[in-house]
Amino acid sequence: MKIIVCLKQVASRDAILRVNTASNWIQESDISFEVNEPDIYALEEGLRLKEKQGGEVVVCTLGPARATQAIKEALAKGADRALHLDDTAFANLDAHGTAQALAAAIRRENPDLVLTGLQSDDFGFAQTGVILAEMLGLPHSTASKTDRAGSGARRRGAQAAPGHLPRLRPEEERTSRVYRRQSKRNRRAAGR
Amino acid sequence: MADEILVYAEHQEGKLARPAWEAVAAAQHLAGDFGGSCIAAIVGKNIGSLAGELAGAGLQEVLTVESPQLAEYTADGYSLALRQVIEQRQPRFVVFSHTYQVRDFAPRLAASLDRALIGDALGYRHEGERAIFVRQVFQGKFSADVEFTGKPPYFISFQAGAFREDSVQRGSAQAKITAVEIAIPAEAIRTRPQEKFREAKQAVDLSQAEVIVAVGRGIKKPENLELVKKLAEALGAELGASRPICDSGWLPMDRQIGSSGQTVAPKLYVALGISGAIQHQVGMKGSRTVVAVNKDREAPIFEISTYGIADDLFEIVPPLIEEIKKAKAG
Repeated sequence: MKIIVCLKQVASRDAILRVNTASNWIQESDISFEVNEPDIYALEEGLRLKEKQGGEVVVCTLGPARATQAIKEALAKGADRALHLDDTAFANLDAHGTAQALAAAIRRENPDLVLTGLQSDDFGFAQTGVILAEMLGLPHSTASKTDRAGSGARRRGAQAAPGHLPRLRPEEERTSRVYRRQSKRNRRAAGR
Repeated sequence: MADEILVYAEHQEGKLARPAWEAVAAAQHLAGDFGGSCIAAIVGKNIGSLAGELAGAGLQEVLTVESPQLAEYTADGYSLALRQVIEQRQPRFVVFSHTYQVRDFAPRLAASLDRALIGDALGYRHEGERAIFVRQVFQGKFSADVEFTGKPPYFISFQAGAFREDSVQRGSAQAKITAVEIAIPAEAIRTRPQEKFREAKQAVDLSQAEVIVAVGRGIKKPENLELVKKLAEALGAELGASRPICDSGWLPMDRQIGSSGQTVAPKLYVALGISGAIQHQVGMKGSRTVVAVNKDREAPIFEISTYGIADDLFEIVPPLIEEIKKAKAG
């Protein structure tokens, strides 16, 4: 079984974030990055499936050069191979654009199963996996939890119709400005 | 008909629930700012009475989208059905409430028409002809302005509570109900829903609690929950949590407070390490006194807190427990 796990690198949860000078993203210098937590769940599930059924786990990451660190961590955890999609055109893509790039890479791999995290800690679209399924022409199931003993709730159960393996499990707009939510107190202090 | 605003009216267990009405309210709001008429689509099987109920709201038209293949929700079926509706009507906006179901199929629907979905918006601003949507990024630490750059239809889902159910304008007459012709081949449905289940029976009713100590992601590790439990014990409080804590299984689902959990209104609400995203706020903003402890002084929880402590909860809570014990003993 060939399993693709989509994995993204995001700012660390503990990082102190500041808006960049262009006010369209955060300042990425001087902060640490980590693997997006929901994607770690996807990777762990992929590795468990591989252990049980054999096969291969291929990590697919879209991101700049710094994302190699995330890829290394995934390989250290037991992934067999990785695809790194790196191009300046990929900076701050929306979910649609990200899914397009991922789909182009994943199509060539012809996997049996694609796993993604539910959403990312930065944009938080919670869409990329679903769009990816549409682009690959595959069914999907979101917010999945597998039925392992003691694993807790599944939010929704979906089972493949005969002959179809549900192959994707996730997880043209522009972000013009990113800013701190201003509290009423701050607005008063600023004289507004 | 390019100026129509199409509302997706979700129904749950045979009823039109809050998300449907909130989406209607959002669409009416958009129509007020950008013009156009609101129409609503309801998808399923045997939905005539729901369509009738919907027709009482101030809508131009209610579209029923029925097929035996749509008797049960599937992402494949619903996105294929609505895609045909959108192709026929060519609306300018397609408006959803950001529910679990919408998260499941709306990105797929938009992508099938080569469009983007702006998901989970808190609201929008109207600047000339531009609609600038606001959504939270970095887990609520920042907001972002987002605009569509391509051609309509524009797909947009709004967060629970972004528009109020009670702001829906009622119509003076019943809207026209139209059945939309669609075709869904059986093989287009590639998943089969299994039995529905709810993991946790509502074993704990937090809605009646007078004091609640709630904990969020700031607690970092499940082992650290002991500290929070001690504070709850000292205060004689019930324990609550934000969604990430319950999703991670650190506390049972019936402790969750917010839009997908319980709604509470205690006399005292202590929020520890909770950033206070709107989904959490809608579940606790009725609390009389809110005490918030969060390292991030910009956290939205401070906007609605009576007392705010912008500091590390691991520094604040232990001496607080001691002081409460002392005060109680004295």
